[in-house]
Amino acid sequence: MDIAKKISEMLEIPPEAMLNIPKITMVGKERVLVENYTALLDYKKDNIRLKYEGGVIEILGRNFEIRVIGEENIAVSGEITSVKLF
Amino acid sequence: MFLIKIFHFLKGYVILSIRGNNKEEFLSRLVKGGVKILESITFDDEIRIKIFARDFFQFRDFKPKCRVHILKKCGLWFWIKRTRKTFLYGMIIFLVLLTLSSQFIWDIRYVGVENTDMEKLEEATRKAGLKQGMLKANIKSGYEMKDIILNNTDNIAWAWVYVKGTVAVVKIRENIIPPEVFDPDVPCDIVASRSGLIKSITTIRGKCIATENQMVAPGDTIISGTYEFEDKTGYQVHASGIVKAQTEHIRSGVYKQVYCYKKYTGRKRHKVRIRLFGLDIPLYIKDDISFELCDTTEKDYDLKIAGNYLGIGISVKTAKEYIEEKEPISFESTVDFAQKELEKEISKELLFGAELIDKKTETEKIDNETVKVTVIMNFIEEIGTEKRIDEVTQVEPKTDRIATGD
Repeated sequence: MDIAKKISEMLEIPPEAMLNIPKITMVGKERVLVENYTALLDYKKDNIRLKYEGGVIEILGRNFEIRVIGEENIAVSGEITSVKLF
Repeated sequence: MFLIKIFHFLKGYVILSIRGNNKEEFLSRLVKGGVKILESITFDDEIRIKIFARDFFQFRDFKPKCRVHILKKCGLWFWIKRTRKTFLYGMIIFLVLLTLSSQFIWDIRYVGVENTDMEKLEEATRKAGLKQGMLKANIKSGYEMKDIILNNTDNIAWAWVYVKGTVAVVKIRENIIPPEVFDPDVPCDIVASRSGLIKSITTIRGKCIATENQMVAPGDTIISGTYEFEDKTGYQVHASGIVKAQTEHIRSGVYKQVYCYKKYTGRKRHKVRIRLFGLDIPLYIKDDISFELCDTTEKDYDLKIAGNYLGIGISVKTAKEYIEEKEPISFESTVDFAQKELEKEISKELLFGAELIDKKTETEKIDNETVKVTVIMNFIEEIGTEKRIDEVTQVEPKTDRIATGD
């Protein structure tokens, strides 16, 4: 992992492309896009939990709806209050 | 968004309800397995997803460990499947009706009618047994119908009935009545067909009884076909000759010094009628177009399959409203316009080979806007025409006293 990290730093390759670490993009409080997730663990109106290589992402808020779900990315809309990484 | 919905409808989709502890895990497996989730919504213990019908049919491969229910199957594919029987019955009924309806005559059209009395022709066609709604099998033979139509109409030289699909086309040829030509043995006079001043007479046969520079009225005898002798005997011949006379044609009219033209307002009204197997059903209550000034056109749209009229169609009568616009024009332009119009009228009454010798235009102002235009035209025309001598006084020619033409 460390070698891969060093190579990506050396070659200036985005780490999310090489290391499979999640990339989280937020558009205000309404939308969040998570790339490089591996599984959907929990899907509730106020809580979405996603698994990634090395941990769990927890999105908290209200009225969640999955807008797009693909093999590697997921877009959630609703009123987002917090995004936690474990 | 609307296009996406149409796309989803065409491809067909299923709305599923997923319940149970492993619903998120199952959803993840679907996504990883290549199933495209079109929409998803969650409730406390349920996730609802929308997937394409194609993906739904591969659903067994995923072996869900939670409860999955189908909430709705939508789209064209499911609709066809659901209505397959109804659709099939509908098609059968449609085909049966189509086959049945194609056995009847639903429309009768007339071709070649110009001067013939339409009512008389329609009556003759009815007498020939051709009616709307009749079975095609009951149509009489072409020769039989031709005879009936010819016997019950005037002025028709030939008629034939063609059946094209469900339309009967009555094709006619009208008689062209040639000018009356008398037999050379029939005694006749040459008379004036219109009034004029005789300029020259060339007598070929008969006795000229008019002189040059003599005024004649219509019907006056110019070359007589009757020879009479002092003893009151005589004989008659078929007179012939060329009579040229100066004729005067006068036409006048009152014209306004304005140019009128139509300006369409853009307002249109449509009156639609449905034609259903010979029945005419109007889709309106009042026939009144209610435009003060309008041009009306009527267009027929027929339901056809492979060129065959199925007895169903619509007729659309369109009225386009216009207002009459007027623009003042000069005195000279008005006279010029009037002159052309009046000359056109005069030209309609001229005899064959007429030669113009003089033309005069007179104008008279009635008021500031109105002008009276009179066109006087003089022609040299052949005014002589044959007229049969009705009463034959003596037919036997007397060879010893032959009189020649003047």
